[in-house]
Amino acid sequence: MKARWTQCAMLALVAVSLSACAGQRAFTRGTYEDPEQIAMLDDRWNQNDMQLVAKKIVESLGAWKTRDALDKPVVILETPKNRTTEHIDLQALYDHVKTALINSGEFTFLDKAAREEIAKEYEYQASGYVDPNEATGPGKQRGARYLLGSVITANIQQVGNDKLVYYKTTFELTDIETTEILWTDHKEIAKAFKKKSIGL
Amino acid sequence: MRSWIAVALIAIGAGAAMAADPPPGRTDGPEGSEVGRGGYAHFGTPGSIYIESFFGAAVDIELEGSGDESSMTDLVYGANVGYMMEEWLSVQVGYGYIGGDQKSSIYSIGIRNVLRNEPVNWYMGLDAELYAPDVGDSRFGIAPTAGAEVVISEKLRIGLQYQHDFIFSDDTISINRFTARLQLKF
Repeated sequence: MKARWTQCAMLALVAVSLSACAGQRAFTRGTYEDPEQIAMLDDRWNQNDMQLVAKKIVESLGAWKTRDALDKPVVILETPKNRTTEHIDLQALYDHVKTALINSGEFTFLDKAAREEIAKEYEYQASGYVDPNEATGPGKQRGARYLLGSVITANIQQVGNDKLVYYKTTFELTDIETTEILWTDHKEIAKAFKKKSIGL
Repeated sequence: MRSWIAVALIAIGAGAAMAADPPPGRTDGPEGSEVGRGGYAHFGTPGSIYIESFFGAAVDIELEGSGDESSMTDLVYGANVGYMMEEWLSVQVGYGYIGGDQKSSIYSIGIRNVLRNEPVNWYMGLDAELYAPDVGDSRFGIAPTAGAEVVISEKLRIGLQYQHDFIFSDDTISINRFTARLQLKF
């Protein structure tokens, strides 16, 4: 009997020792991953959502331009509207869309965010410090004809351990001269999650 | 017959191991191709079921009461079916058969606690058992388990484990089981 209890005690000791080996845990020894491979570690907006929205918008906007046989439209970006309760970096989404459209060679984008810096640069270049033959001044900027804006909304359903997150991102292209909405499209994303324990 | 069942289970596991894992979901495919595709998929998904076959050595030691401390080593094989309640916790039922001179069946039900450290995981478990020799009465036992496993793919793990069976009877029987296992997730 004594030998059996000794064996039980040894097994318990091994079990406790293995548990203790866990120690403090940290995220370490990472690997590079393909950014376009789906990775959903949590239930929030992620890079894959951004890629999916950008892909849909770029394709739709390109098809619209081809259909209406427009010359290279000159576009300026509107401030994006986030109507969700979640922090979402919509500037990153804009950058994704803008990069794809500029690289397609089909659209011209004007840099609204740099206007203040550019105005200061004009003043500096006109101050006499810069060679007049190389100085650039005001009056030659291009005027935007279209305003590209977006709004993102979300709806969350949660019952027990189940959660469904729904995002709808709508983009609109408005003619600045007439205020007509010439093109609009949206991307809907629904993601289902189950609540589970994390870690030990 | 039991031998053939064990062999069939191992063959099924090996066949599944050779099958390719489904490719992960991507965002650069055709519109809508992302629907139904997830991320962070791996073996321990809660709600999944696994089946595992095992084989190895069973060292039987009869200690107190018998007046004779003898030891026999025989082949043991069998299978378990489990349900992952959480990524780190599962319940399972199993059947094992000890061949050779011992000729006994072991029916078990128990839990496994996995200490995840992929690709190598450690685990501990505790089973309640019904020890049923081909000749003689059935007896109750408990069996703590410890083992290690290697995550081969999303659907497959292989491992080694040690299990000590405390069979409660007048002539208390202890069995040390050293087994290799092949686990397949569905």
